[in-house]
Amino acid sequence: MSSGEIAVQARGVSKKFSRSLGRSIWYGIQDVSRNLIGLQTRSQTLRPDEFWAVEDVSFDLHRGEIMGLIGPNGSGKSTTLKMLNGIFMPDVGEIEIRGKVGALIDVGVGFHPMLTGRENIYVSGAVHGMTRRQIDGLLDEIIAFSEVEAFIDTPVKYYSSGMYVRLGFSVAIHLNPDVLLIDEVLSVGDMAFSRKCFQKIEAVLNSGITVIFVSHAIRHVERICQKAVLLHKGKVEAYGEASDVTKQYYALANNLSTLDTKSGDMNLGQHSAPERFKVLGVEILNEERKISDQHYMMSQMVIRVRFEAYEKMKDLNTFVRLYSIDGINIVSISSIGNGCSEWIGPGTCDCVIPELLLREGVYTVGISLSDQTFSLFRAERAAEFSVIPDESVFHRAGSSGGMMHIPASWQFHSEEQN
Amino acid sequence: MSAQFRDQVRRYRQDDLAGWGPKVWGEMSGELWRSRELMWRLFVRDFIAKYKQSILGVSWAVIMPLMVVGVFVFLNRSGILNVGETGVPYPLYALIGLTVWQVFSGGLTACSGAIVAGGSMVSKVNFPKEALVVAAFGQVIIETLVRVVLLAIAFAMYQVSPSWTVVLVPFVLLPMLFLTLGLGLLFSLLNVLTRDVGNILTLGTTFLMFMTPVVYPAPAEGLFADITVYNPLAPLVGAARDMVLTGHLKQPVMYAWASGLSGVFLLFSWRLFHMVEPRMAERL
Repeated sequence: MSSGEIAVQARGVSKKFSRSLGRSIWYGIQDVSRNLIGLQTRSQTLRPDEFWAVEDVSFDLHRGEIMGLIGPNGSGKSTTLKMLNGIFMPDVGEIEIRGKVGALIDVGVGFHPMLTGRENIYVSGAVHGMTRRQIDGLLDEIIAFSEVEAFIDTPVKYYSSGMYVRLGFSVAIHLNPDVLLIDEVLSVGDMAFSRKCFQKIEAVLNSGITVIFVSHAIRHVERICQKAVLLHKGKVEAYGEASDVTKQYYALANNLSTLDTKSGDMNLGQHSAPERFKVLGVEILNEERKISDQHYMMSQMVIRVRFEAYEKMKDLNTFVRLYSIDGINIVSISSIGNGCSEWIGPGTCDCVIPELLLREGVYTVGISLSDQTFSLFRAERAAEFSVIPDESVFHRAGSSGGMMHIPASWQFHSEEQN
Repeated sequence: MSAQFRDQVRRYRQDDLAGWGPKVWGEMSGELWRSRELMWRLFVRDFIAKYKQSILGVSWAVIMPLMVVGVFVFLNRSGILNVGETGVPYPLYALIGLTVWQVFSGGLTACSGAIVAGGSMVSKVNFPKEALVVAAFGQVIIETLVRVVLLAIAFAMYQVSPSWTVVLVPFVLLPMLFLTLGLGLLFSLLNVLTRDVGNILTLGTTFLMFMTPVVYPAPAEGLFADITVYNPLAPLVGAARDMVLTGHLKQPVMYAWASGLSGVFLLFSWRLFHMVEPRMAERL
């Protein structure tokens, strides 16, 4: 597929913004005045108060390829996408796109509350660059997909927010472009519709069009995209095969998150009775009982909670929850049944995980403690750790993908033996 | 599809929008032509939205001019205001002037709010933003048509028949439409930067209405006549009224100047609009 024609090309694309509103207006007037008399703007250099929101981004995308654009918040993903869409002009460099461009950046664009669903389909379609004939042809399909048939001639003012979004999404997904730009708009409707949207998007992705996909759902990027660009502070941190780039993202996210948990992770926790009981710290230890935030799959990991009880506690129990980077609660475990019936004074509680069954990624640890009757402490982001990818470990364990591993025994039987 | 795929190449690069070369004009015209359907849709959208929520509907378009004319007729009758010789009954004269004037004032107000009203659409989708301004201007055309009906009724009531040249009015009005659209494009962008524009325009158009011979004939001499010479709106309003009443342009030379100026101004502000448009998206 990569031998095909180049569909999207970005060469050294940069975009700067100004921190101060007043200056940005003044700079804008200067730039426009220069353009008016046919001069080039001084866009390559930074003036006071300006910064590069996106700096020197380059990539090629062939026809039919799907590329993920990933990175932490504020890394310049949306700005890049808007430049690809032609809403913002790059200050430096150039972008070339071949074919009709469709953008799934916002849903319900151009909708007017007083107009009926049907009328709004035509408006939104026109804003997205569809002709009346194209919309006529797709109308039934758009209405059917949105599941609002019964209300299609009702003003959208009376729609529930779910119906509104569904109709907007339905228009946008039926654009049939050659190059599709998708921002994460997929918090769409209820669960059933959300799944339908994903399926539709995947069907579109597999229909051979070129796609650029901005997402925080790294596993989605891993699964769907062939290529990926990792942006960090506006610069390309990694570019290439999606699986390689996402691995670098995990490493980057890990570096970033340790920095920010060190700055006071326990502040994120809430004590309900600090005069009776206090959590002093949460640590993650490796097999050698050394503090580490990097672990291998199948290795031993210990989550240690240090605390002090100022009064006698009865039935002290610890709860541990592990979350993936996108906030999904993967497991919740507790010491109930193995708790301690009475405690006073300082102490630690070790949650020993003999074999870590998680695959590569960054995980957040949530901790709660309670006694017989009260919740004593709760922190959703008490600590973070990352699981380092190691193919040999995966191979030995028999893990070939997904988020986690489940030990299994395998049996092959020949028909004759039974 | 493959052929079409190769045909459509978009290139985004800083300073591609600069200058006044023929390439830029070709691009702008092409973009405008391709967005004709979008303009129509936005126009229909605004039209439906506006009148669905209103009980009096299009009659609002005539209530305002009737009230203003009423005030002036009162001032005239009571001798506070002496407008001089108008040739036709004064209320009729004032109504013609106001109908023409409101193409300008109404158009300017509607156009200047268009981009801001577009809101998230402007910063989320790439489409020719001119479409928003032109669609807003379309609403004023509709209102004007309604006022023309009122005017026709007034003519019948006073049993005055207009000159045959009344059919030329739409053409004679073109320079005024250009001027309005040109100013509208500029103010729609300024409005993004500062919302003071709306208030300034309300004030400005009211002031201009009294400074322009709209509800009274142009004075022949004095300070006011001197000012009127430099007011391009005066011959534009006057020419339309001449076409309705007499069929003879009173100020053909000034009209020609004002027309040329309006045309050039529209091209200039369209060009400027096109250049500034992507920068505005960053601020919405």
